[in-house]
Amino acid sequence: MPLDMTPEAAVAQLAASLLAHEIDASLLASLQQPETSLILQKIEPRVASLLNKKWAPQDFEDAAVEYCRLFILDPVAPARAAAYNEKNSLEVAGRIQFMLDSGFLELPERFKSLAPDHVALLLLVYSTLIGDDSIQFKGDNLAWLPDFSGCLENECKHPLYLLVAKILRMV
Amino acid sequence: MADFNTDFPMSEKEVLPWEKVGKEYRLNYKRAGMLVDLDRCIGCHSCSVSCKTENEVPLGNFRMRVRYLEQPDNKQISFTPLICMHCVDAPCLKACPSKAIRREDDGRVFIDENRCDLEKECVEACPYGAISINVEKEVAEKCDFCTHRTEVGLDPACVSNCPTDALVFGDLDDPESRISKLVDKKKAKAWKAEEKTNPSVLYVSHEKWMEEKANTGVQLDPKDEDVTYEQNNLKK
Amino acid sequence: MSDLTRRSILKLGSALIAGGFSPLRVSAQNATSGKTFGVLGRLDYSKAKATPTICFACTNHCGVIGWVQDGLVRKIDGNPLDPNTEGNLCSKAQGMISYTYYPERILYPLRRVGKRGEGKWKRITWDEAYTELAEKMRPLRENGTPEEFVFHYGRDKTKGYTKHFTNAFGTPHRLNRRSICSSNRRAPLMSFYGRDFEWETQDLSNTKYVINWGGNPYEAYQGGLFMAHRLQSARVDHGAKLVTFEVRPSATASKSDEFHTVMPGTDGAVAFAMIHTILKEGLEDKEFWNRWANLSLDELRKSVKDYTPEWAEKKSGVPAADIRRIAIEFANAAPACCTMSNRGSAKHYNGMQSDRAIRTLDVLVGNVGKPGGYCLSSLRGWSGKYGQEGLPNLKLPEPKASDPKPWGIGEGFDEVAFKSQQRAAHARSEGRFSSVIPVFNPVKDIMVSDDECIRERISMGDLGALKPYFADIGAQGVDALQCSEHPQDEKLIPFHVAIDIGYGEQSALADMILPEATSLERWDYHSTNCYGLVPYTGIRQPLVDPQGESKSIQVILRELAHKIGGGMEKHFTYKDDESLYRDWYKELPISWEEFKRRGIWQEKDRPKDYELYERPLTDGELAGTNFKAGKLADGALVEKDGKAVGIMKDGKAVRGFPTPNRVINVYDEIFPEAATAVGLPLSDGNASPLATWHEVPEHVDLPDDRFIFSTFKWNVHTQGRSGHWKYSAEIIHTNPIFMHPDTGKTLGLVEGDEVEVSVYRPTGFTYRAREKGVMGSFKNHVRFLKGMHKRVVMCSHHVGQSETSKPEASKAETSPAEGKSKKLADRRLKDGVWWAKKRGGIGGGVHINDALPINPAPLIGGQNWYDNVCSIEKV
Repeated sequence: MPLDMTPEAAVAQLAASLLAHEIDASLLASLQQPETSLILQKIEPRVASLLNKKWAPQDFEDAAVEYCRLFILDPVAPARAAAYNEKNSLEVAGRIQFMLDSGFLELPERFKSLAPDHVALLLLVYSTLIGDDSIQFKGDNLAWLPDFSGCLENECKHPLYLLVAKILRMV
Repeated sequence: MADFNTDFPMSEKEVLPWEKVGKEYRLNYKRAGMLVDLDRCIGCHSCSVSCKTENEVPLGNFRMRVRYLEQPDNKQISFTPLICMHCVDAPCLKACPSKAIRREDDGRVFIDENRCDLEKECVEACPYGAISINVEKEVAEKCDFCTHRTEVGLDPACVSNCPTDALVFGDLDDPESRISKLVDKKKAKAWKAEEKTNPSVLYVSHEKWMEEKANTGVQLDPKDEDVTYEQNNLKK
Repeated sequence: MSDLTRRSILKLGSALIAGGFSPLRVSAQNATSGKTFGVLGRLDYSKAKATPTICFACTNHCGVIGWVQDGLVRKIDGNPLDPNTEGNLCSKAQGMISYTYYPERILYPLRRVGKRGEGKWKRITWDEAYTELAEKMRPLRENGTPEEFVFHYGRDKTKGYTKHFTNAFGTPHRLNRRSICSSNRRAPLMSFYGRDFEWETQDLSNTKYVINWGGNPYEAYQGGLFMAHRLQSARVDHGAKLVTFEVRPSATASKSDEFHTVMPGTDGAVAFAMIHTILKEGLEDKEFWNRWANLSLDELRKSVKDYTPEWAEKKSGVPAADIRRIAIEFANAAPACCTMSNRGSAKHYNGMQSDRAIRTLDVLVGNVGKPGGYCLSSLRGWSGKYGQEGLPNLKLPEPKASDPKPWGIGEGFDEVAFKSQQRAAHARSEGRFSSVIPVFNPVKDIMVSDDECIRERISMGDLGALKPYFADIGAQGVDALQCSEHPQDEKLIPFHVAIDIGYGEQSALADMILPEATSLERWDYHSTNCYGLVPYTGIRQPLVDPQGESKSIQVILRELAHKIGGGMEKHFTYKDDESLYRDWYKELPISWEEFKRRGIWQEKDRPKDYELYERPLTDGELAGTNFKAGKLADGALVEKDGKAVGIMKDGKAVRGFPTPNRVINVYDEIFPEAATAVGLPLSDGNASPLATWHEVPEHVDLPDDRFIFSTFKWNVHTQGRSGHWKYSAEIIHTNPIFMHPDTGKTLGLVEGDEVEVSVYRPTGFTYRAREKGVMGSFKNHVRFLKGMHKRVVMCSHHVGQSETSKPEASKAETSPAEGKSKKLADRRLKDGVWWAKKRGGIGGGVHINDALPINPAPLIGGQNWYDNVCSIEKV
């Protein structure tokens, strides 16, 4: 990992954390940082009202319900490679599991229970790579990302995840 | 089938069959071949599904396929596994313009994916419909008798899991081998011998309705069959 | 990447960094090259690790070897040490890989938000889940009403761990699904041979002649895989003959030496005619019958005097000459012959009596317990039962909680009525039923089976509020409208928890979903009857860690017990599953490490379980009994503490059968007693103490425009839970209506036509009987097969469910069934699913559950779904 995080890595990690788990106060705070918030609103205008208000518990719950509907229970936009790579559905999981078992990466707490081919995990790993490794990794493991972000855009009803779909296009 | 009581004593020193895998093993066959006994086959698909899992065969392609047929002359269903015949005189090998197909030392016919240029001549040339195109990898694919298993002392995946011992793998050129003795005893024969490709996969009791079986789908639902035929050049 | 995008990334990225965003604080050791990132392609057997375990794709539980590479299970092979399979395996085992890794698998605890059944959920933590559950369950114990907790599971393959929990909690209410399957055919066995032998073990390796009524071991069947290879060897290598009576060309029927189509519900008629023939020809084994049956041959002869082959031909359609000939061939092959039967003969109003007739054939020709014959061998749960002498005692090691009082004890309770109902419960096939009181509904004059009875009691307001209701392995209820009404009613079932791996129709109606570990990720004890006739045991051990946050059922129950507290924790002392099972198996003569290494243990020198009933009682077994040499007469019972443990034969004390009178109960008073207790008229055939022929009521004078609709199983699927197994779904993804071409002609159909099948309620003494009108219907396309019986139409039930029947990595289209309980799922389709409608394929299956009426047999409670009368119309 480069000693300073690159902008590319930051964007990938933003997508990763929004996809790894439901949005919480700390992540929301990062999004609501003035400079960041403006840029995000340009990327996805529909998220403006969400970013400009103080969230009540109901807002967090609504986002959590949408997260569950999109990614967890009978997911309409499944966040795992296996859902898009029918032909070699275990391949990505195998690669990542191998890497994780080799101790290559210390996973943050909320990533530890993700399936090995979960998009958030893949984006996280991707964010730590540079140069040829980064290109190779993306080709091997994230070729399905446009499928996923397209699906997300079609199915999603909550502006926050519309935003995520757009951010994914930048990765 | 192993003799259960003598082959597997309950001793802690005993090396178990799966523990022997890979250790100092060499398959010294002169002519690798298979016997398919249609008297024993119950159409369970253990072979085809084991093959797909073992070889990560994509949906839509089959290396080993089990065909069902409602017999025209009686009310019973008959089934047959169909596989690459690993012909001694392989038309696919001759047809390939990229010379991507070769015979291994033990006679099995092998497609080298690195040399395949997707000319698809092999698919046309095969009279048994054994070759399919892997659209993602962009190569032609077929059964290779699970080289990665046979080189460590395991049978091909289909043979290993067949619940009724309908599939036997062995050296057709060794008269003492189990397969040779069975070929003799049960008078196993090649299918489509008139194609003169000299197949290394021999069938017991296949004579009835073999063509019709080969032309049906994997499940008894006619609307489905046209889609599975994409890879099956038997239906021309 | 466009410049615009690059600029956006820079802007956003920089803004994030400037804002202090670095929530992940990840560091990698070094940037390793892509080439070392894992293994692609096929298994590398020099690297992969093999571990023996027990499959759980179906109810057979075969020993398997799982190959793990890169932390993933990649392949399942047979375990050659398994004495039942002898290394064989079917296609379904590979489905375990599908169900462990499919992308829609539920990996986190979930809590309903919004109305029940609305489909709105959110993720919660295990701590939140346990806290809420304990808060709801603890008061039930504290208020003295623990019985308001109901635990509904499928088959308890933990061998008693779930019962351990319900006992510790204090509730007797455990529901299973035995009645959906094989209750009717287990009851005759339990009556004939005792509760220890509710399933037989035919010695197929050595048999010469098998008559099969509707069983399909070559595709399914409890023990099917163990039977298939033995029976094929017997046929192909040793000339054994297999005769099958069936209604469709199953794989078993197709490999049979004779295949006769038979009218549904008339298998018993054929069997009775065979008994009649054998007696007429004098081919019965008089010695065996007189020695062991509790009825005289004269009485038997009297009871079957009218059941001639000609009579049976009129009922069944099977030619009299064939019936006669087969009966004679069967008797001549004795004792190396046996019968086989399962749902085909038993899932009928008269199914229980039909199977009693079939089982009588074996006793009549004296093949019981003989080489090649109908044997009885140890089933499961080694704890000193009959036939398990000398086996290591394998008992759940934790402090045992006492069995809770059955529900109903309290003020105004009628003890006499209660005891009668208990006896009726014991007449059922499964010991577990006895802890759930069968409910006689005095209003409707019928008996309903266990889980439906709970619902009836709920709707009658008798149970009051039924508090937390656990459903482990979500069921897809038949009579779906009926079955979904009660779980949706929050007054009847205030809290509903589902423990499952996938979203199903039942979990859709739950309030909380807990993610369960799959069979590749958990421990279990395993033992089942061995078709090699020497008992064995096996261990299911995890190959990989549970995915996501899923937990095994044992862990969930243990952690929940500790959370509930109040003394429950005393019964759950083990800190992890491996310690529990190690102690459970401590009596094995091999070390725990060795047992894990092999996956299987069997005492090789143990003699086969032939003629267990002739084994003399040992001195140890005689100690404390009434036996004194020379003092007990022949036929007298050897008793200990008021319980019969043996019987005198030829001056010797022998084991006999584990029945109260130590003989084979061809005649059994339990049936009329149970009938009286529940108000079933004694004139109903089900109440007869002796096997008797009676008609399926709604089949009498069946109009020409009515047909029988029933279901069947394919060899690549398991029930309704395998629709998402990738390779199985590729082979079978639709469930067309199969019928005979002549049936199609009568209805004016050509192959592929769309029809509507409408089913009517049954007319015997059963649930909502005689209600007029169509109870349910569905639309599907037809397919012709000459092997179908001309009055029968059939669909498989594996596909078409709205939630679970989706192939891995994709959601193929399913067609909606009629009825309000299903919603159309129009999902995005993936490349691989070539059969998808959007790609010009045939699409997925049709849900048929709406057209399967709740139809429990009056005493035994088995669902009679092979009786359904239907009408068919072209759409």
